[in-house]
Amino acid sequence: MITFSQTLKTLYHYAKPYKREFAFGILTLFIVDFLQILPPLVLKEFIDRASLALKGEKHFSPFLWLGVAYITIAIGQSICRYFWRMFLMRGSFKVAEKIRDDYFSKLQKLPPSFYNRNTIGDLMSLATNDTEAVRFALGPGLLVLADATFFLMSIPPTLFILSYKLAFLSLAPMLMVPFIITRIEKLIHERFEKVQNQFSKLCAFSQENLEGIRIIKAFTREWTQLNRFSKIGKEFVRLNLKLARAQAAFDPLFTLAVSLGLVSLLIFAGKDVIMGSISLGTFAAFTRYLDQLVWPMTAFGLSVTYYQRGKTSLERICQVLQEKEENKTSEGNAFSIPSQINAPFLEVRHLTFTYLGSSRPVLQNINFQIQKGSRTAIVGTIGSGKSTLIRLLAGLHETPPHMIFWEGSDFSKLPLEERRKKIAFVPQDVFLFRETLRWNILMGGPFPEMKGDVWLFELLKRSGLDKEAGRWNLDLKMGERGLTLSGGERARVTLARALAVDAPLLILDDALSSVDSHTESEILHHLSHEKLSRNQTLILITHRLSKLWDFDQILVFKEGVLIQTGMPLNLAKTPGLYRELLELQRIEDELARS
Amino acid sequence: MNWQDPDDSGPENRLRLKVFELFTKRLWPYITKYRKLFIVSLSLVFFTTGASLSIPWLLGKAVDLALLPKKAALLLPFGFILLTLDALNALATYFQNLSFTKLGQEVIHDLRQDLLKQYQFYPLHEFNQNPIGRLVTRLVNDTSSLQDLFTSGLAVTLGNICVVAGIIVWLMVLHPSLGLICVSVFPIMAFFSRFFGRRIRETARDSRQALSQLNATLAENISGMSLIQIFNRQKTFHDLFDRTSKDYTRTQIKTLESFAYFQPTITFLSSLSMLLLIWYGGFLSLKNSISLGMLVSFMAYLHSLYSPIRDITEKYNLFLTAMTSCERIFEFLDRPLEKQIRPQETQIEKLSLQGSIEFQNVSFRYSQEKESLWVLVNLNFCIEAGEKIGIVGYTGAGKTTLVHLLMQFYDLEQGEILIDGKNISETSDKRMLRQKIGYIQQEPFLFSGTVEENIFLWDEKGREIFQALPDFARAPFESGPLFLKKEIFEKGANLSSGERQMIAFIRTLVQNPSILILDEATAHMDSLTEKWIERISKEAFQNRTVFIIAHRLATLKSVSRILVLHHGELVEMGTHSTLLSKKGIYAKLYQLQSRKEALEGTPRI
Ligand SMILES: Nc1ncnc2c1ncn2[C@@H]1O[C@H](COP(=O)(O)OP(=O)(O)OP(=O)(O)O)[C@@H](O)[C@H]1O
Ligand SMILES: Nc1ncnc2c1ncn2[C@@H]1O[C@H](COP(=O)(O)OP(=O)(O)OP(=O)(O)O)[C@@H](O)[C@H]1O
Ligand SMILES: [Mg+2]
Ligand SMILES: [Mg+2]
Repeated sequence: MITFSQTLKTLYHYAKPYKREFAFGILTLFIVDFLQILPPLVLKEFIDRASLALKGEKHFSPFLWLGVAYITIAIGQSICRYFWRMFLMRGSFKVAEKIRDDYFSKLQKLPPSFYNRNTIGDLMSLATNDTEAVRFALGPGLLVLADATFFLMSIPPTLFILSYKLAFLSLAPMLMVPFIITRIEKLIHERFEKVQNQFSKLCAFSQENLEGIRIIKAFTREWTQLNRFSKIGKEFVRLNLKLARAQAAFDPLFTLAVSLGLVSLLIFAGKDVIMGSISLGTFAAFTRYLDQLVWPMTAFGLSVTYYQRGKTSLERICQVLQEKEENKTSEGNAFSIPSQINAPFLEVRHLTFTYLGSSRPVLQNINFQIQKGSRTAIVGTIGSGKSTLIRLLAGLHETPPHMIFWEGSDFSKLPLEERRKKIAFVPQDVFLFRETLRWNILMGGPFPEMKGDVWLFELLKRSGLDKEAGRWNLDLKMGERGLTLSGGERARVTLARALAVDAPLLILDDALSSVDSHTESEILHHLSHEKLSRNQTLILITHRLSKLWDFDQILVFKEGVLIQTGMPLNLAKTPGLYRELLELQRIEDELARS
Repeated sequence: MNWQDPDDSGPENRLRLKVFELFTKRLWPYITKYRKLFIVSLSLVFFTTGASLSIPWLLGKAVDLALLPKKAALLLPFGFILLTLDALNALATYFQNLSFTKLGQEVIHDLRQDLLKQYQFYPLHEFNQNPIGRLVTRLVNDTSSLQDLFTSGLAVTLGNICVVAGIIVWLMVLHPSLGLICVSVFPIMAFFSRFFGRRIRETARDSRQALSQLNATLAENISGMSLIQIFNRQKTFHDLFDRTSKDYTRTQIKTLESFAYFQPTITFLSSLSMLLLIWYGGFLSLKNSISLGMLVSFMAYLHSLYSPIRDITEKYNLFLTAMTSCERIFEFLDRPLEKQIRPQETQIEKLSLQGSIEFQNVSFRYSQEKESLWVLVNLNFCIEAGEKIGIVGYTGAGKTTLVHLLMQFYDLEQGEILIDGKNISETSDKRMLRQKIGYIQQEPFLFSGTVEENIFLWDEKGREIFQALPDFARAPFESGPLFLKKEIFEKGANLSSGERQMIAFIRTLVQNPSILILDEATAHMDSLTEKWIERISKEAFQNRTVFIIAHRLATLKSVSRILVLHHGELVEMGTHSTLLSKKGIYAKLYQLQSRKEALEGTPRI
C-alpha cells in the first residue's frame, strides 16, 4: 500500500517532463469553462434588445454585432477544446509510454527467480492494462478534477453572495460528500486491485493455454481448458460487479445530494419566498445554479474513481519496479588485478547452492578445476544440478562469493556484463526469437554491425547447418520460437548463436541431444578444431557418453554432488556411476540380440 | 538489407465491417442472449431519463402552484414528492449502472469464451503464423475495451437518443419552420460524424494493432529474457520494445487528434444552430409572426437538445473504438476451424483401436505454395497392430512431421493414412483418434500448477491408471522434486529437463492410448532414468502400437522394426540386423555410436 502523498509524488515524477503540456491543457480547459458563462449573457442581451425592438425602436445593427460576438466565442471555445484535449491527453499518453519504458528496463534487470514467481501473462497485463489505468488517472482523471474544481470554485461562492441562508440550506446535503468518498474510496481500491489481479490471471491463462496448444490438442483437453477459463472469467465478472457496486454509488449519491439541496430549498425557503423575504428571482437562480452543480459532482466522483484505480495499478507496477535487481557487483576492482599466472582457467570451490524457497541444496560442496583450452564433459543423472551449475556460472542466479574463480579471481566480483562476455552459452531450453534466422544467429555476435555472409556461413558450417543453410532463406521471419524448424535444426541454430559470441568459454547444455549422431560427430569435430585454433575452452553437458572418449575431463554428478572426476578412460575402468551409465549405453550386444 | 523489418504484423485486420452492421448483426445476438437483463436496463434508462426531465418540471409546477399563489401548505407535499422522485432516481441510476455493467460483463465473458473456443479448434498453422501475444490481445484486451461501451456508453447514449428524439418531435409540433432551423445543422453534423468516424476507426485500428504488437513483443521478450541477459543484448531489445511502445503511443495520439477535431466541430455546429435560431427567430418575432416568449422557450429547448448531443459525441469515440475491437474479435471468430472436428462439448465418442497403421503414397509439405519443399515424399509402409517401431534419421529428415500427420495436426495433401484400415481423413471427429494416440512431444510443455495436474491434465480418469502402475513407476512421484503436490512454475521452470520428460511420459501413459509415440521422449534423460522408462514400458507397451523416435540408438532396444527416413523418404526398413547388413544410413549411425569406433578417436567425416 502506498500513501496518498507517495502516489502523488510518483505521478508527479512521471508527469514532470510534460508539465507544460498538462499546465497548458488545464489552462485551456479553464478558458473553455470560463467562456461557457458568456453565451447566456449574449442571449440575454439579445432578448432584451429584441424586446426593445419589438416596442418599435429599430435596433438592427446590434443583432449583427451580437451574432459576431456569439460566433467568436464559439470559435474560441472550439479552439480551446481542441487544445485541452490534445495537451492533457497527449501528456498522459507520453507518461504511459515512459512508465512502460521504465517497466521494461526494469524487467531486463530482473533475475530468473523473478520470472519464476511471475507469469508472462501477469507481466504483460501490467504493461498494458495497469499502465492504462495510471494513464487514466493522469489524463481523464485530471481533466474531470480540473473541470469539477472550476465549477466548485465558481458556483458555491456565487450562491453565498446571493443569499447566505439559501446557500447553507441548499449546500448542506453536500456535506455528506466527503463522507461518501472516504467510505467508498477504500472499497474501490480493494476491489479494483482484485479485478486487476484477476485480469492478470485471465491473461496468464490465455497465454499459457495458447503456448501449450499442441498438448491440449494432442490430449483433447480443449474443453477442459475452456471450462477452466470460464471459471476464471466468471470470477472476473463477479469481481467486476463487486467493484461496480462500489463505484456506481458515486454518481447517484452525488446527484442525490444536489437534489436534496433543491428539496430543502423548496421546503425551508419556500415560506420565505411566499412571505416575500426572498425574491422569486433569487429562488429561481438558486435552482438553476444547483442544476449546474450536478455535472461537477459527477465529475468529482469520476476523478476519485480514476485516482483510486490509477493508484491501485501504480502500486502493482511499483511492486515490480522495486524488485531486487540482478546482482550488480559492487566492488568491480577485484578483477582489475591481472590474472594470476598458473591459476586455473576456471575453478569452483566448495560451491553450495539452494534455490529460493526450497530446503534441500541442489548443489553441495562442488570442487573442480578447468584448464584453459581443455574439453570438459559433465554427465550425471537427471535433476542432479548440472544446468543449475551452468546457470550459476553465467550469473543467472545470484552467485555466492568466493566459490567460482576465473583465472584466480573471484568471478562473482566481476560485473555481470563482463562475466557474460566471457561465456558463450547454449541453454538446455531452446528459445529463438520471432525474427529472421540471420538475426537470431547474429544476436550473439557482432550485432548489430553485420559481418559478411561468408562469416555467417562459416558459423553455420561449424554448427552443422551447412546443408540446411543452402535451402533456407536466412532473411525469412521464423514462426514463434522457431517452431517451424525441426528439433535438431533449432538446437543447431542456438549453437550457431553461441558460436557467434566468440567467448573464451563455450558451454553446451545438452545442446546436441536432439541431433543425430552423425551430425553430432561433425559438430564435435568442428569444435575440437576450434579448440586448436582459438584456444576456446569447452564444457559439454550430455547424456550420450559415446562421444566423450577424447575429452580431457569428465565430471559426474549425482543428486547435487560431484561424485567422480577424471579422464574418460580411467572412469570407464573404475566402478561407479559413469561406468554404469556407459554399460547401459552399449548398443553392440543388445541391439545385435534383437 | 533491412533485416529488422518492423512490419511483421502479417495479415491483421482483414475484416472491415460497417459499424451499424457490426453492431446489429454481430454484437446484437450476444446482447439478446441476456434479453431480460437488457430490457430491465433499458427500462431503468427510460425511468431515469424521465425522472431527470420531470424533476425540473415539478419544480416549475411548485413555483406555479405553491409559491406564486402563496400556498405554503403545498410546499411540504411538493417537497415530499420531489424527495421521493429524487431517491427513486438515485436508486434507479445505481441499478442501471449495475445492470449495464452486468450486461457488459456477461456479453464480454461470452465473447471471450467463444473466442478461446475458436482458438482451441484452430488448425495448427494459425499458431505458427500468429504470435501468441497477438492472439492474447484479442482475447483479453480487445474484449475488455467493450466494457466501457456497456457501462458508460450504452446507457448514456440510449437515454440521450430518446431525449433528442423527443425534443425534435416537440419542436416540430411547436413551430415547424423554427424546428427545421434548429435541426438544420444535422446534415452537416452527420457529414462530419461520418468523416471523422472513418478517420477515428482507421486510427483506432492502427492503435489496436500496435497494442497487439506491443503485447507480442513483450511476451516474447519476457520468455526469452534470460537469453537476452546472457548475450548482453538488453539494449538491442530495449530499442525494439521502445519502437513498438512509441508506435502504440503515436497511434493513440492520432486517434485522439481526430477526436479532438471532431468534438469541437460538433459543439461549434450546435452554437451555430443557436445563432441561426436567433437570427431567424428574431426576424420572425420582428415580423410579429411569433411571440418573444416562443423564441425564448425555443432557445431553452435548443439548449436541452444539444447537451445530450454533446454527450453522445463524447461517447462516439468510445463507441468507435469498441467497434474496432469488436471487428478484431469477430475477424478471429470467423476464421475457419480445423477440418473434421466437432467443437461441441459433448463427450468424445469412444473408439477402440487395434492400432494397425498404413501409409499409402503419403507426401507432405507445410505450405501449399509451389516452390515449397516436400518434407515427406511418397511414404509407403504398413505397421501391424501391437508392433514396436523405431524411426531413425538425420535431423530434419521428417520424423516429427510424420507423427504430426498421424495426429492429424496438418491435413494431407497427397496419399492416405489408414488406421485400422480406415482412412483417417474420413473420421468425423479428429479428436476421437487423438484421444487414442498418446504423443510425447520432443519438447514437453508443462502447465503451471501442480505435478499432479500436469499428469492427469484435469481428468480424474487418469488417476486410476496411475494407481494401477507398479510401485517403482510411481516412486519418483511420491517424494522429491517430482512430488505429486509440488507446484510447478510456468513452463516447468523449476524442474530439470529430464524431470519434465518424466512427467510427459507418465502423463501420456495414464491416458491409456492404443498407439503410443515417443518423439525423442528420453533425449534429456540419463540412462538410469531411461532404464526406469524401459521397465515401465515392458508392461505398458503391451497391446499397443508403439513408435519410438530416437537419435540414441540404445533407446531402440525393444523395437522390432526400424524405419529410416532420409530427406523425407523412407530409405530403409527392417530389423536391426538386416539394416546393419545393408550398410546404409542406419549402419553408419550405428557405427558412430558403438564404442569401438569412438575409441579410435575423432571420427572421420
Ligand atoms: N528454479 C528452480 N527452483 C527450484 N528448484 C529448481 C529450480 N530449477 C531446478 N530446480 C530443481 O533443481 C534440481 C536440479 O535441476 P537442474 O536443472 O540443475 O538439473 P540437471 O542436472 O540439469 O538435470 P537434467 O539432466 O534433467 O537437465 C532439480 O531437481 C530441479 O527440480
Ligand atoms: N511447421 C513447419 N512449417 C514449415 N516447415 C517445417 C515445420 N515443421 C518442420 N518443418 C521443416 O520440415 C523438415 C522436417 O522437420 P521434422 O520436424 O519433421 O524433422 P525431424 O526428423 O523430426 O528432425 P529432428 O530430428 O531434428 O527433430 C525440417 O526441414 C523443418 O525445417
Ligand atoms: Mg539440465
Ligand atoms: Mg523431430
